[in-house]
Amino acid sequence: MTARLPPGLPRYLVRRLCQAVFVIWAAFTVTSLLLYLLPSDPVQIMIGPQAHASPGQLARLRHEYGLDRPVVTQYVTQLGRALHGDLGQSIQSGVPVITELFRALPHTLALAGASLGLGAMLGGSVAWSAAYASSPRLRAALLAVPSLFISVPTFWLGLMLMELFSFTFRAFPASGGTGFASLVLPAVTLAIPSAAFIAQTLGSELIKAMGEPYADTARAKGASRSRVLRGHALRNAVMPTLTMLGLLVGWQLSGSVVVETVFARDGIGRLTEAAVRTQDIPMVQGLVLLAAVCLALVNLAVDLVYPLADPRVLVRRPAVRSRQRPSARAAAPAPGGGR
Amino acid sequence: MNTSTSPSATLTVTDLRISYRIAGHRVDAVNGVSLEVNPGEIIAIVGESGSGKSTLAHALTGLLPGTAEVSGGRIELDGARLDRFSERQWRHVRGARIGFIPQDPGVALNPVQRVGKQVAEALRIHRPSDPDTERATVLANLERAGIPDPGRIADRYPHELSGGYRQRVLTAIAFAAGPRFIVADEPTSALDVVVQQRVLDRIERLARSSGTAVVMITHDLAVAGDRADRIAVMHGGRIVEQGPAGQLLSAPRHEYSQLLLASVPRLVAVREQGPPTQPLLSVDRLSKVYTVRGGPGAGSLRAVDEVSFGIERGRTLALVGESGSGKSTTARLVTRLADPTSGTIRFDGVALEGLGARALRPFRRRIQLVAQNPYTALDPLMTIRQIVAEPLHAFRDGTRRSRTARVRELLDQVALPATVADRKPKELSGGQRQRVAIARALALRPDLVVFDEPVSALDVVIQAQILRLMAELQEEFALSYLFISHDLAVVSQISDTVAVMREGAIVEQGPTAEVLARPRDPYTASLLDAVPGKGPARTG
Repeated sequence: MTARLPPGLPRYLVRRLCQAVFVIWAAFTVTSLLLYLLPSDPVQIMIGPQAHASPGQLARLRHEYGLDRPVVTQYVTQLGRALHGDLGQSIQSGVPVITELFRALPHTLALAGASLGLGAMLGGSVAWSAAYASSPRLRAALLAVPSLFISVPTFWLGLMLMELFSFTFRAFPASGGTGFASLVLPAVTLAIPSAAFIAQTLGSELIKAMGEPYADTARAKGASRSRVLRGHALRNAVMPTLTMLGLLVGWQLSGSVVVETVFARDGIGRLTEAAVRTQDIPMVQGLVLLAAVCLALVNLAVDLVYPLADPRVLVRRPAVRSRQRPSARAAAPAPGGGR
Repeated sequence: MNTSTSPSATLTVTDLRISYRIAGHRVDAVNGVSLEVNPGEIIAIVGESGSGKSTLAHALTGLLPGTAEVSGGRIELDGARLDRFSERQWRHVRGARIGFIPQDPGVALNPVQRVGKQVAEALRIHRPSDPDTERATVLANLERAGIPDPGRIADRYPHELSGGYRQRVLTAIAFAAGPRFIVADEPTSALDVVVQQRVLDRIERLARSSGTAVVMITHDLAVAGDRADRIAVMHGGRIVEQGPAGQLLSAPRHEYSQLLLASVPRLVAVREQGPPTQPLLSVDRLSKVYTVRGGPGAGSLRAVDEVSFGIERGRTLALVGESGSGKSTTARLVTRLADPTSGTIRFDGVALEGLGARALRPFRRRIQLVAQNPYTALDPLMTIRQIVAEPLHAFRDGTRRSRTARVRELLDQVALPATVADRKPKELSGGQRQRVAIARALALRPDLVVFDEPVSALDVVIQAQILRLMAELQEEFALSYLFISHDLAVVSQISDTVAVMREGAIVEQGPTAEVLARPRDPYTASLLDAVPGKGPARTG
């Protein structure tokens, strides 16, 4: 059938884009405000807890970093800099925050990508098998497995995998961030709960869709169970799963803190752990901003895919209905209709 | 295996028994049904909800849910035992030999697939697909099913089509692969009378021209009488009577068939024009305009357009029109659940349109609403006693003891046993729930009750009972009714005056007998024409 650009699309796109920008701005503003309100003194952290400086020296440092100016001025200056890609310098290393972020990001992206991909494959297969299974017992069993894995803590799962595959079988390295082999265990650790989330959502949605009257219509055409699943249930079930996928990416970011620490991998999660531990304020702020950008981008991507999966998301066209033509009806009774 | 059926094949059901396993219990739905469907005939299976007719329809298409079990009897097509078929064998039967038209067009099409593609699938499953001719075949099928502009409609999604169009698409799907038998499960019970007439015209025409036999499941004896060659009346899982349509309608032998026939509303005004009484409600040039933003339909939508009518004390005005005509919006304006854009509503001499929430409160107890769907209008977590007493609580009416007494009195007035008071809505039937809704509306002794399609979700026998109850209550308490319906036959049973609405405006109004006998507007005439059960019954 012909592809047409739906009339509501440009409006929809602009609105979603504005929402994404707003979310990023709001995250930046809220973190600035929260960090300003914290009782700790950034200058004291900078020079270290042991160092004793005279009040005059502290005041000079404050002035140097612009910390003595009104909060609004500080915020506007920060926002202006951030717009130019300048997020300040890490207090710990003195390296620009943006440089640190870009150095760590690829490692975490590789981890998140691998675990999401693996999770989607694993979760998708479980969901599909559960929906395809004609025996209600098998189906119930398949759907019960994911809830078990959702409740397993990530650090414990990581340690168990490490024990089994690094120390017992010596199949994969237990730590380090180089090469494909080092990615396997952390990715699997993160993928298992992700797979469980996907299996649970997609599975129950697929089973729900198979019970809908439109699935009966398809079966009444003579379609096989797998054809109904593929052709009708899947696209209807994928919508709620997509929404969940947006949440899952946020979960991956927080999961990476644990997993990267357990497996001693370089990445955003480890950077976050270190920045929070050492109260590296510019770094924390940069990381929050990065998380906001990631979440906003993923949700934007989900929003953009949505109308492809479901045409009802966009503004509706008025329904086509038969017009009343009583005069025409009276003049031409239906032939062969018996009335 | 042989996927084509010889033209002389018959579909035979012998002593069929089907039961459901529900929470460990076995519930019998079909108790020994025998039926023969001959080539090219239209047979109607008529019964109320719970009679087992839908279960039978699903058994004939192999679409019984997993909880159902064929515990006895046979279904045979050309000598093949369909009841013993595996899922794989059924796939060759469904669509190709037995087509299926489902009940609710609102949910029976895949919402995320263009309708043309859904018709194409019905073709593709049983024949090798030919991309060059497929589209043309799809369009031809849609056109035969009564869609005048198939090229445009094929590229639409279901939500972009009206219910009547969706049911035509489903008809096209059922006929697409050229089956010799079609099972139609209440194909028009979700549609307005006018649309119902057109859809049934199409199904009948397609069936007669292609020599396809149709098993039509319906709760409406009038529809059956208009369309079928033979009628089988089903009750309690059994066929209590079957025979040629004309014979069954003119001389039903079984008492249940007689009851069914007596319950069909006749298109004759029951009430005679009495002397005028005092006016209670008068509505003058009432309008409601909605602003539609975005898309090509942007602009203002006049849902109600300068509507004027009056209701006298103790009388009924019926507002009739198809869905989208603005009649429900008018009900919402009169009950002040929505704010009018312009116009006046005078109730007992007071202008209601400008009143705020506080000033309206005394009138809220005098104007009550009974909603269309008794299944969703009652809070499922409340007991019947709480539901009926809620208006009394809201207006702090009486003491705890007097409220209990009032609930008992109200239940008695709507002919419900006092024992239902402690039950939840889900334990009651549709008719009982509508009685509860009426009892709740009467709790505060209102002057005007607005009924929004109160019987359209009910079986015909129950419908007749509710209408009788409404008339009795009106007589006893001198109530005034605003009765909203799409069905003129129902309206004729209860109304003193009729106003016919179309596209937001009233096109005709007058005393019921006069409007029914001498409609002045062609639209009223087409509504009258659409009422089933007027034409001479077909004989064998």
